[in-house]
Amino acid sequence: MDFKLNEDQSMIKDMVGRVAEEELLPLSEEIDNTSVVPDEIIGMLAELNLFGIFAPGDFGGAELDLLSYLLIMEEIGSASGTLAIIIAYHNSLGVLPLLKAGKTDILSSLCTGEKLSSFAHLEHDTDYNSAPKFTMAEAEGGSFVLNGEKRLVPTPPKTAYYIITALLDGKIALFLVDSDAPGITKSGVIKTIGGKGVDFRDIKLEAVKAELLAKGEEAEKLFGLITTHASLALASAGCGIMRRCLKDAVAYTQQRVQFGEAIENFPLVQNHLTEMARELETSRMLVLKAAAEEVKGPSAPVSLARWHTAVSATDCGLRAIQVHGGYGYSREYPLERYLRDIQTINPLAGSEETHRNIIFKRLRQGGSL
Amino acid sequence: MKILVLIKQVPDTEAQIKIDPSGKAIDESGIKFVLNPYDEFGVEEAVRIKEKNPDSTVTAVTIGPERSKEAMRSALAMGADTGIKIWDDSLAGADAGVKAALLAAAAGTLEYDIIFCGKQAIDDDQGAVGGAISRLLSVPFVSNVVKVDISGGKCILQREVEGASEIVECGMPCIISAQKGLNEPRYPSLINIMKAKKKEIKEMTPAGLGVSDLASKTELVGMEPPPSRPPGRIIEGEPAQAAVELVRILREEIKVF
Repeated sequence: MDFKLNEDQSMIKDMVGRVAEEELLPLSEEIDNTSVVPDEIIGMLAELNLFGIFAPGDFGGAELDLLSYLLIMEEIGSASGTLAIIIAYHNSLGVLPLLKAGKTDILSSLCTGEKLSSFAHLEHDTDYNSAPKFTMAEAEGGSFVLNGEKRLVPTPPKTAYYIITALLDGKIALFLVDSDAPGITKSGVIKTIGGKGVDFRDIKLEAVKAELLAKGEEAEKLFGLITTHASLALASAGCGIMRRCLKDAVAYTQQRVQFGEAIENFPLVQNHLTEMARELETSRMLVLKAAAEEVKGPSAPVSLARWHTAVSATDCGLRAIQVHGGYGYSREYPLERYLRDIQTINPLAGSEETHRNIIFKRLRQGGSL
Repeated sequence: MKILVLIKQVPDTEAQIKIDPSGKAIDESGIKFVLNPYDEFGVEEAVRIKEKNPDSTVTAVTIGPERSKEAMRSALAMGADTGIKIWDDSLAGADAGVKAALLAAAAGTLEYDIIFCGKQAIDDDQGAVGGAISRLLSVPFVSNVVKVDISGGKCILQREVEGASEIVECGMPCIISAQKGLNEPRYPSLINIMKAKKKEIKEMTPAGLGVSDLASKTELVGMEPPPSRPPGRIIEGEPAQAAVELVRILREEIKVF
């Protein structure tokens, strides 16, 4: 067991960490206030290859390993939940399915960040552990048309393509759709508590022309793979927000004086800080452990990492607010934003229930985690 | 155009510096090292010149132990083409004069039009190497530069001086030390970080460079942490009396007037 990062990984972590701290963090409050991600930020992330993190060099990707991707997600998460969601959706749920399905002609424009991609699966009555119910695909001529409705689809600026799940002959299938294709109607931006600027919208599909990426068993596998991959990435982003909560909390408790001394000297405050450290470190370890094996599809270790991170991040966010006293609730300090972003990230690509189910199935089969 | 950039690996600006038990060096355990920020300006400027003049080459040169390869890799990821790393263990604690002799010797084995260096390293703050090399190589040295224009085979350089900007012209080859404001150094992209690994870092020794006089002309006698800040004083009493006491302290104890 080797916990040491190799030279590439530590250099990548350092570089993205610097960008996050120096460039992204100072803008994250404005992104949250205005719900707008400035084009220049997307442009900067693109120049740094953050939209083609693991894709092959032939398509303009950086060909990094899974661990490097997760290290990047933690750094981005430590600065902005919104940007973490955009990057994770694009890489894990946009670029990855196209790569696996061999749909390579548009990959260069995605990896260079010229265009972004997003993923549409949720419906009124579906979660990530079930196939779509209300989005139907039909063969028409040589291609396919989709009808139905998708909920809460991230549509950040420059989103040019959606990967959409639909039922084809009663089974899940994955399709590629141009975001401006005729027959697509987008709702206004849905107001969410966090992830401002991700621009979640509902999408109505009426006879929308679509390109098939995978069907049948292959589609099931691909869906499992990409949602699991995204879960890990988002869990790592959650670790990043936890790290930020802890850092802010430690700094605040050192300078805040009460009864003549810094509040870090009070056992109750120390208790909060050490609990936060426990939550962060155990989450990170579970994420890294799950990433030590190749991600092939839903797996109990990934679900455990994701579930544990979600629960821990919520608690960590609340504790950070608590040690800040009244300031914790005010928008003068960013603590409440961290908590709102945590709540937005937590259910993406698979709710707590989905992950508990996966873990329980493993236990029932007599497996260990 | 052939450009050399002199770089140094230094402790991160946020590192908590402690003196090691010898009293003559810092304790390196747990310290994160980075490329000296002023050298970063030099690397960036060199790479920008290269981007405008595609047949140019940028070579980064450093003196340092094995760990300094990380700083070298940062320079290579920013766009330097190759690196040269000079070291042998006898160089630990070498002064600016010895380092300048080695860097001048290394430059002597290469072709160069411009040598960039940072105005100083943020660890020892000496700012001596650029000037010393210019003497050894007999080339002009312009320090604290915030703008570089190259035209007609000459460098037109802007320096910040007290209350004004100074414009200096000099021929090439020359040595330019970079001041904050020269440019905004880029963050290396993921692809360039990975590419940097494949770039060559040539390792050289003082003997290989033909430099045999490695005796420092200055000796570091000892290091001391800065004195801790004395605690603040609170003057008690009614405002009128307190003001009188404050004036007395300022006049008699601190002697500000």
